Amino acid sequence: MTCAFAVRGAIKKNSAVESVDVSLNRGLATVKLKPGNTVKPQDLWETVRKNGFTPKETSVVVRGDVEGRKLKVTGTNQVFDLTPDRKNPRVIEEAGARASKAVTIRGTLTPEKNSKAPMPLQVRSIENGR
Amino acid sequence: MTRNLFGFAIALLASVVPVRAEFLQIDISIFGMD
Repeated sequence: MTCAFAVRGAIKKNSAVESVDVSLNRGLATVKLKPGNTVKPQDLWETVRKNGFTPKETSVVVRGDVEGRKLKVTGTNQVFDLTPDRKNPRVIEEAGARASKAVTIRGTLTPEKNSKAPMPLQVRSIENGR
Repeated sequence: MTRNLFGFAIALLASVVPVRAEFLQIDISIFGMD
């Protein structure tokens, strides 16, 4: 239990974090972020590692601009390669047909160390609008 | 007329101002001690 508190406290120190809940039973850290934040998932993965845990699959809700199959997060200038989820292989094409650049995406990131290439973001759903 | 112009100006501004893009929520699966 103490370890969960340590991870929670370390993540909470980030001023961009609105709330954090860590459950070791579920093996999940749920982090809600404040509007206008410039948080990168890598920052949170590093915090998890520093507290002795290994970050794995990460489910995200991210707002950004889509150009082709890339998502740009303007707050941090991070670019992600969009790949469709296996359960919904046409999700990106269908969203493209609705033609809006500004979208909210729900998807999954997988932590990789020392990768300079754009990180793949496996997309579950795309909603148009700001 | 003035109201129409005001509405047009707001719509134009909304289309020009860049979208704020950011992560809203991040759920990290974490596994045991290293």
